Amino acid sequence: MAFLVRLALLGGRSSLGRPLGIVLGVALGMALFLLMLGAVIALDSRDDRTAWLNATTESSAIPADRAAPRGAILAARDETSAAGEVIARLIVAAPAETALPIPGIPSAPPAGSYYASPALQALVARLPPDRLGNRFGSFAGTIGDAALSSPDTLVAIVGAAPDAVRALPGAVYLTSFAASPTDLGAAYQIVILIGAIGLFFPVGLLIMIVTKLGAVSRIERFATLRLIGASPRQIAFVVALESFLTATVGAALGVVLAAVLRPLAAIIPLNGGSFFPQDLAVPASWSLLAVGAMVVAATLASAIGIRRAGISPLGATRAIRERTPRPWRILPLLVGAGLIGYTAMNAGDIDGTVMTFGIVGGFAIVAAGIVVIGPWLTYQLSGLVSRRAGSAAALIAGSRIRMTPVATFRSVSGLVIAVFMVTVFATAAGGVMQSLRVDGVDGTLPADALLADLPAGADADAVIAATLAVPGVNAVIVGRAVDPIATEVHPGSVAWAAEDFPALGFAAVPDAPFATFDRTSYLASQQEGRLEVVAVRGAAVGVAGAIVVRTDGTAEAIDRARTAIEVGAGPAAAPITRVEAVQLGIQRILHELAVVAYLGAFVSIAIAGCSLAIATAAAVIDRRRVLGLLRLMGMPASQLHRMVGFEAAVPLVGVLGLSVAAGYLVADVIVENLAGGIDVGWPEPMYFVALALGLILALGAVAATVGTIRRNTAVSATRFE
Amino acid sequence: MTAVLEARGLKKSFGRNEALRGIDVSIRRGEIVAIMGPSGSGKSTLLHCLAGVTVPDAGIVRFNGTAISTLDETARGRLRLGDFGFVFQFGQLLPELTAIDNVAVPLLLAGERRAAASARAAEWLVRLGLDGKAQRRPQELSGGEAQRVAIARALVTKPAVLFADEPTGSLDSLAAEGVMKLMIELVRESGTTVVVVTHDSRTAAYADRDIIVRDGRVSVALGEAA
Ligand SMILES: Nc1ncnc2c1ncn2[C@@H]1O[C@H](COP(=O)(O)OP(=O)(O)OP(=O)(O)O)[C@@H](O)[C@H]1O
Ligand SMILES: [Mg+2]
Repeated sequence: MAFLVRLALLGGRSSLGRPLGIVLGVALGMALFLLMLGAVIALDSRDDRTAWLNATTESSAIPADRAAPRGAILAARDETSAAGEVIARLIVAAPAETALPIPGIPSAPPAGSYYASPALQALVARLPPDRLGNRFGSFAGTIGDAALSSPDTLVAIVGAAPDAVRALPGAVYLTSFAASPTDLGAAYQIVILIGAIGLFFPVGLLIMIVTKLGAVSRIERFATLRLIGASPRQIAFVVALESFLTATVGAALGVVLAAVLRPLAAIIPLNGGSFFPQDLAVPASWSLLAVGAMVVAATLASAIGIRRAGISPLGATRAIRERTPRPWRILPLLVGAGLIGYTAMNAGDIDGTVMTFGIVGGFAIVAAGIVVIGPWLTYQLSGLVSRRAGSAAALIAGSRIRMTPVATFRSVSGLVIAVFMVTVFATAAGGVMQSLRVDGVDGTLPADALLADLPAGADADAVIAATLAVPGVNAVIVGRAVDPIATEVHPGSVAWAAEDFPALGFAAVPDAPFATFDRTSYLASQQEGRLEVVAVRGAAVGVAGAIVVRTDGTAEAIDRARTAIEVGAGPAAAPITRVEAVQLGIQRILHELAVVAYLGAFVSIAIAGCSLAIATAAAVIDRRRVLGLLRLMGMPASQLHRMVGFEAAVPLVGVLGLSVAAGYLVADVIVENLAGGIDVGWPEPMYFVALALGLILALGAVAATVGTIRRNTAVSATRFE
Repeated sequence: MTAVLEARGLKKSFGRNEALRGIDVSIRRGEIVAIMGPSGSGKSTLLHCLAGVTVPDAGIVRFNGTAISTLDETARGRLRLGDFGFVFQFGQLLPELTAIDNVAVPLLLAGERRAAASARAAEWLVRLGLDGKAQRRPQELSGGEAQRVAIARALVTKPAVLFADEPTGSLDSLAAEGVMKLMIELVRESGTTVVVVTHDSRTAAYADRDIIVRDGRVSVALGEAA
């Protein structure tokens, strides 16, 4: 037996390269899997850490106009922004006798001081005080990591006088900071799941291809062993033993690789921020379990592979011809498309969980459907190629693919799936980007402007004067409170002078001295029909209630104006730009995720490129005798390269079109139903970059095998008798 | 008479193993020559040197007066495609191609159009008695049929020289007889020169002359004129 093992494992030129390939493939797959698993765990755990920020909206919070419970902390939660970043802010007033600790800080900040997360404090230090720092007061200390979801988290805990807090919208008494974490929302979960599925395909395929290569490349050797008397069980044992050893080494290496890559992977922002590296760590018991599963899977895969290869003493008995793919292969694709279509059309009637299931499930089935129908399309196309072929290269490639459509398609399926995934995200992101158009839309707040309320009690004139004094501020337009009894407008509406309407972003001027309009539409991402402007009689118009501040559009001017307003009128003024108003919606999340998706797609495409290179090299080695014979007959090396190129190109061309179309449609359905009425347009430029990258990788992968082709098909490489 | 193939002082070693130790042969146009000798004596190596597959360590090979042993691989490839045909013992057909496509490959490599190549391939299949087998793949053919397809492929380009290494070595004597008869008939018809390596005397009987190789040297050349 030992002799058999030595004979099977050692000797032969490729004896070292192949196990090395398996070790690397398994290690890479393992590392990626562990990092992904780490990210899934981390997303949960880190949201728990910042759950305390939601305490003001818990049912246990007591409205500030009721009696104060003993020791309760008065708090209001809002958001402000600077340099284009959103900052979460908790404004607190804690009684001296309170026993309630605020998460992440040693004691409540006294009025006029604040604690900041390290990322926020860095931002405060980086920007001039009149852009950001002045809004918070004096720095009391940093918030500990244990209360932050990410190193990038921007959070401030600001101390204020009890009366000032009580005046803020949503002010409450807190007796506990226990709160449930932010619900990511169905759309967010869908996108993460889709990303995970997209990554899973190429990794799984890589492992399959590498393992299969290990078994196939030794069929001749095993046939010889059988010839000299080894039993099939002995052969299977030898193969399983080798897979066991290589997979164990590979999986262990993968654990190490994951640990090494962790700080790098932690940089990738997910759900609004990068990770603390230790967040991505996977518990040792899970790692061990994953290693075990990987080893078992690889061992089984190779044992089955060798059984299927049908090693007899006379070589591989199994004909190289596969079964002809049948048209039923279109079914999964139709089922997946149907599921997505049905879910989308009934989006209003079904609950969130069912919808998530329908769309994620539909996406997975469509992805699987592409893999299932791939061989059939490849088969049809190869028939066309071999019938029409005008060159020996095309004829041989076409005929070869026609006999092995499944194996041929498998070698490119990783790329095909990656392209599908990229298309979904690019198209979705394209639609989102379009909806984020904030400039030049009639009847909406101009992109360079801030809209702020002037709360009762604020010194309006002082605020307006201070804001006008800010460098970069061009105009302050004042809206006036309206007496709701004297007019037909909603309570709280603000009236604006007719001559100010052009500066407010309206093309037309109303023909009444004062007019009001709907605030939500004014801040909306897209104008849905003309804004309805309601005329207001001058008699009903009172004190200053809101301002629109036009700036030169720079981040500096907007930040400074915001600081002036917040310092003068308090946080309740809640100045907002239209970009912020739009991005606070689901679009921001989707847009952020598109960036992550490109990263995922890049990894998938890279892995898929590896798979294609390995599969191409394996196919060449597998046929070295026949290819060498072609060389002997006088086939030029360039024709051989063309032939190998054809074998990769036919399935790619055949199925890429389907991937792109399916991806576009899926994105259209998802965006239309989750982001509400957005039509997806052209994908972002990044999409074309990703596609080009994929194509270059595929070509590069095939080109990388040229050396293998030359070495294995040189006339001197094989003896012909 | 002019020699179509001529070798002088051929030497070839594999490491310290001297496969050819100085061989001179001269083969005339239209001649059928059998190379015989014990196993390991260097027959296949000699054939490979003559056909421009292997480059000898020393000595020279001339085809129609041109030294081919000094050409580069690309030029020798072109020569093998245009002027030589090859038949081996087995496993030389492309398993993914049908019989007719296998025969058409050299024509396509030579730049012929697909339709014309297929028509000529079909013609040759008929000549080799393979009508009705054109759409079969190699695994669906008997050993004798596969060898006949290989012969059709070797002859379809009308080569000047046909090189055959044990063309009937994997066949039973009856099939071997049939294949050899057909091959000889066809080459006589077209005046193709044949170099056939064999250790079967019945195959050798079809040859005009035998070259016996022993230990990398020509030992006796029966029937050589002058
Ligand atoms: N590629 C090679 N590498 C190493 N040695 C070789 C190679 N090709 C041939 N030889 C050696 O050269 C000698 C001649 O080999 P060759 O194949 O020419 O013999 P042969 O006469 O054709 O034998 P057979 O009748 O068994 O086919 C043998 O000793 C063989 O081992
Ligand atoms: Mg030989």
